[in-house]
Amino acid sequence: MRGRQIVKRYLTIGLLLLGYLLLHLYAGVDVPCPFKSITGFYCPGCGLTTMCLFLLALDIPAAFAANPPLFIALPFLLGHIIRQDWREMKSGASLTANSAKMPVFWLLYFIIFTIARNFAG
Amino acid sequence: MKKRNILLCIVLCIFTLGIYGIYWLYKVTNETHLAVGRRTSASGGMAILYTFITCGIYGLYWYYRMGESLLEAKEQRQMPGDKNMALVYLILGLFGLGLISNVLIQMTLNDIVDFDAAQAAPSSLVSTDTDSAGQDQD
Repeated sequence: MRGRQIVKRYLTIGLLLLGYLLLHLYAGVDVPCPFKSITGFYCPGCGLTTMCLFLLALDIPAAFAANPPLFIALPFLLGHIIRQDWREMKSGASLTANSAKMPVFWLLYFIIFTIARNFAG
Repeated sequence: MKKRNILLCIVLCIFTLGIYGIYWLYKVTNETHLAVGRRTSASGGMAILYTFITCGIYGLYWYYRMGESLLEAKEQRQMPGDKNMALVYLILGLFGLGLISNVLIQMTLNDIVDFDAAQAAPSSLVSTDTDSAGQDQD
């Protein structure tokens, strides 16, 4: 039952993402970045839509260029999510001590790269 | 899990220009998972990260998941719950009223803490310290 819920969640998110990408491609729908609108600077997620579109088109260099830090981090973050859900499906117990190392590491990583992206040209 | 003084949380969010809100998100996420007894979304730290890298979009999903999780926690305790609250939290977040969603979520958590205390829950994680905004000991 729990496994079915997890699969249903992945399918829902996947379909929503695909739907948004298709709307973006063919209807020009875009999610504006409030951070960029206000400050003029790129936020860590700027270029995510473009990156996803290039990934779907299997254009890896262009996907990397759209958002390099997120391109590098994405496999690790997705792997973390999938590993946690896999463990939950297998063992059923999912409340474990939450280590702060991983989120702190990735937060620092994105902060550093976002600053570099905006100020290093 | 601890009760939080909601007014103090709001004041702290305003005076810290939202920085307290990040801590609040972290604590609410982990405490909701405790209330349900299982992880129903990303951990508090990862929720902050995902919200950061998606420029707040993950926050909308977070509101919905918290709503569903709290409904599940209430159903486990046979407390009355509104099946539409997840949607309410999401819609409030969509219209820039996320602070109200946070308040409603915290109110629900406070109710659960009160319920568990009244039921003399066996879990040693429950306390009813209402004198602060929830300064934790862990």
